[in-house]
Amino acid sequence: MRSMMIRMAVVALTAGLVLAACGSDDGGEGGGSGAGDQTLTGTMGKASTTTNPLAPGEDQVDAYNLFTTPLLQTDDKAQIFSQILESWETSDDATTVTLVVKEGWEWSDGEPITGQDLYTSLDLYLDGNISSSAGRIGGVVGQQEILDGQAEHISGLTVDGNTVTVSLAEPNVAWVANVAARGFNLPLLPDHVLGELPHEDVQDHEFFRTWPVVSGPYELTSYEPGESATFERNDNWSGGKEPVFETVNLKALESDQMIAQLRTGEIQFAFNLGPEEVDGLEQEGAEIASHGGIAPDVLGLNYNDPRLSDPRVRQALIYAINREQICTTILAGRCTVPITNVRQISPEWAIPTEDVIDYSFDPEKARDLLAAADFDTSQPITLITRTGSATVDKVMTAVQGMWGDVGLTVEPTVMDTGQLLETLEKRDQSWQAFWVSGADFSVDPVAMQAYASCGTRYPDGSNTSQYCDPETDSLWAAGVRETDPDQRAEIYQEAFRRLNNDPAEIFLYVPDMLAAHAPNLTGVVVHGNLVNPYWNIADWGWKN
Amino acid sequence: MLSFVARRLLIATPVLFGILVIAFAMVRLLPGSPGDMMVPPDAKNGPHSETFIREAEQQLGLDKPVVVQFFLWLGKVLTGDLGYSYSRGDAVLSVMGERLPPTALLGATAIVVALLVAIPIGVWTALRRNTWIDYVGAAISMLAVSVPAFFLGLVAIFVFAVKLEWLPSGGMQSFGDAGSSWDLLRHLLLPALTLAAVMVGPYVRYARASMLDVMGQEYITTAVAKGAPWRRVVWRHGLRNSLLPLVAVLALQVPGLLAGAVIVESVFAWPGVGGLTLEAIAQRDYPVILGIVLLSALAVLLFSILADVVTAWLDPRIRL
Repeated sequence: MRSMMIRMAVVALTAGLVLAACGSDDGGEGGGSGAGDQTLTGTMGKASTTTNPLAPGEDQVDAYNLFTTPLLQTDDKAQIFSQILESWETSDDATTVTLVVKEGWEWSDGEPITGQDLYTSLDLYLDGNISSSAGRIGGVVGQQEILDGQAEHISGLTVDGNTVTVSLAEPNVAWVANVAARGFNLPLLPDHVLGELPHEDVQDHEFFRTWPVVSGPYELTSYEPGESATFERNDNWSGGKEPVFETVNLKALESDQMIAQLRTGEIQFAFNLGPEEVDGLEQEGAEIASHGGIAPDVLGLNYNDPRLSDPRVRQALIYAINREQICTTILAGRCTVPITNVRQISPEWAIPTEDVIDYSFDPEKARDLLAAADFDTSQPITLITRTGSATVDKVMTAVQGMWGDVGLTVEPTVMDTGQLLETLEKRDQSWQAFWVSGADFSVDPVAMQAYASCGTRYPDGSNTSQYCDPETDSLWAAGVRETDPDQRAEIYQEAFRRLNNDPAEIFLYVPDMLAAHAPNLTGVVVHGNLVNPYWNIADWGWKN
Repeated sequence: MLSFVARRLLIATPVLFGILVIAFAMVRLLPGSPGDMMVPPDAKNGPHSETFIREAEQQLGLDKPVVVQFFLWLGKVLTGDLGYSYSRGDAVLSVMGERLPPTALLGATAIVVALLVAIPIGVWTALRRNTWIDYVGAAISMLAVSVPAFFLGLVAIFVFAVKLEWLPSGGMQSFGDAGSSWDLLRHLLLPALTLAAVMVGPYVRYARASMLDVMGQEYITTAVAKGAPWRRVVWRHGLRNSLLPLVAVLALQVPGLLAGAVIVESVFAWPGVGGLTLEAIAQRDYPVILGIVLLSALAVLLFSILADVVTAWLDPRIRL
C-alpha cells in the first residue's frame, strides 16, 4: 500500500517535468537562440487592444511601428521627419500646409503610394465623427461641416498628384508638430482599399483587423490584443533596405516575465523597464539602451481647492520635495529633474532660463511659505496614487514623508484610472494631489496648451489640475499663430514663466525610457516615447 | 435522475436571474465609465472630441437608462449574444472563447495533479494517524496553504526556467510551434504545478478527515472482522466512500478556477480568463465583465447539480 502510494505521487509529480525537461531545447524561442537568426522576439504593451488607428485606445499600439508608416513622426532627438513625405511646409502666414509624398514608394501589394493615399488618410483622421485623433490635429477647414453632416469630406484638403494641401481655419504654425507628435497613431492608409468607402463604413472596417496591405517593413500576420503579435518581412518594402528579420514576434508581458524571458533568451528585446530591473540585467550581460523621456511624472494639484488657491502653498509643496534625491535613489539616477518645474522638456528655445523660480529642495522655505500663506496644516492633504508600479509606490511614500517633514499631514488613497477620472470629473475639493504621467512635451511647446488652458479643464480636455489663467490663455493663442520664431519663443517663455510662478502641478522627474536587449542585437535606438520602441526597426539586425 | 436535473435547473433559473441583476448593478456602480477609459484626457481636447464621445456612447448604448440597458442586454443574452467588447470591438463570446480553453486546460490539469498528490497523502496520513507520517503530511498541507501562488510561481520560474533552463518561463506556446502538444505540455507544466500546489493543502485535509471518518464506520469494522484483505478494505470500502465530500468540494472549486487562477495566469503570462477579467475591469469593459460573471454563475450552478449527480452515482444510498 505504502509503496504504491509513493509511486503514484512520485509519478504524478515528476513524470511530466522530467519528460518535458528532457525534450527541452534551450528554453529559447527565437532570435539568436531558438528559431534561428531570422526571427526576433520582443515585447509589446499589454494595453494595446486594437490595431484600428481611428478607434479609441489606439494610442497604446506600439506594434504599429512594424507594419505602418506614419505621416510624420519624430526621431529619438524629437526632430520631425517622415519616411514617406518628401517635404512638409507651412506657409508664411501659417494658414496652409503643403505635404508632398515621395516618388517610388509602394504598398505591400505593389500599388504605388501617392498623394491620394495621404489625402484619404487625412480625410479620415480629421473626421471627428469617426476619429479619436480629430481634435488633436484639428483646426483644418471643413472639420465643422463634416461634424454637422453638411459634408462627406474635409473641404480643407486638396490633392494634386503627390501633393496634398491642407487649409487651416486659423493660422497655426504648430499643425505639423501636432501631426508629428501623434506619430505612429496616424499611419498612412491605402486609398485603393478605403478611399471609396463612406467614412462611417471605414471606422470598423475589417481592414483594420488584418491589415492585408501595409507600407511598413513588416506585414501583420496575427494580432491577439494584449497578448501577442506576429509579423513577416514585407518583401515589397520601399524603405531602401531589406528588413533583416524574416519573422518578428511580440509578446505582451508583465515586467517579471520580461526579465525572466530576457534571461532565458525567449525574448531578445524588452522595453519600458524600471531602473531597478535594468541594473540586474546589465550585470548578467544584457545590453541596456536608454533615452531621456518625453514627459515628466507629475503630481497634479487641485487648482480648484480654496486651500491651495494661494500660489505660495503650491510653491511650498514643491520646495518640500527633494526631487533630486528621489531621482538619485529611487530611480537610480535614470531620470532628470525639471528643477524650474516646467513641464515642457524641449525644444530648448521655448524653455525660459531667466526670471524663473528655482524649486531646488528647501524645506525651510516650504515651512515659511506655508506659514506666510496661513495654511492650516492640521487638515490632511489627500494624495491620490495608483498601484501597478513599484517605483511609483516608492516615490509616493517618499513624497508623503517629505511633506510630513514640513508639518503636513498626508492621507494617501489608491485609485485605479477609472476611479481617478471620475473623481477629477467632479471638480470638487475631495483631493489635493494626484499622480499622473504621460503625453509628449518634446516636439513643440504647443503641446502644453491643452494641459493648462481654461477651455480644456477636465472633463473638457486634458487639464486635469483645472489650472485657469486668462493671461496664459492669450499667450497660448498668440503662440500658435505667431510665425516669427523669436517672437514665438518669447511668447512661450512668458507662458512657462507664468506657470513657474503659479504652479498647478509638481513635475517630479522625467524618467528615462529604458530597454534591454540581447548583446547580439544591433541597431536599437530607444525613443523617448514608450509607444515607439520599434520606431527604427528596419535598422535592427544581428551582430555578424 | 432526469426529473431531479430538470427540477434543479428550474430552481437555478431565478437564481441566475438574481445573480445577473446584482452583477449588472455592481458593474454599473464601479466608479469611472467606459467612455472615460476609451477616450483619455488628452484625446478630449478640441471641439471634435465631444461629438466623438457622444457617437461612441450611442454606439455602445450607454446613452440609454440603466434599466433599459439591462433588459436590452438580457434580451441579447437569451439569444446567445453577449455583446461586443468596448475596448477590442470583438464579440464577447469570441473573446471568451479564446481565453476559456487555456483556463480550462490549466485548471483541469491542476486539479488532476492536485488530486493525484493530495488523495494518497490524505489517505496515507489518515491510516497513519498521529505518527510522524501524519505530522509530515499536515506540515506539507499547511505549507501548501500558506505559500502564496505568486511567490511559488516566481520561484518556479527562477529555478526551472532561468537557472536550469528546463522549461519556458511563461506563455502557452512558442511562436512558430503552435499546435505542438509537446510544446504545450512544456508551457503548461510550471503554471499547472504551481496552481496544483496551492490546491493540494486543502485537498489533503479534506481527504484525511473524510478517510478518518469513514475508517471509523461500523461497516469498515465488519469488513475487517470478516477477514477482508486490508488493501480491499481501504480501497474499496474506505477510499470510495471518503471521496464523497471531496466531490462536493471539487464541484464548488472548479467554477472558482475560472477567475481564481488569475494570479497564476498573470505570473506565467498564461492567456486565460483571469487576465481577461482584470483587463476588463480596468477598462470598464462592461460586456466582458458581465460575460465572465454569467459564465461563472452558470458554472457554479451546473457544477453543483453535477456534484449531486456524481455523489448519487458514487453512493447508491443517496436518492435524488
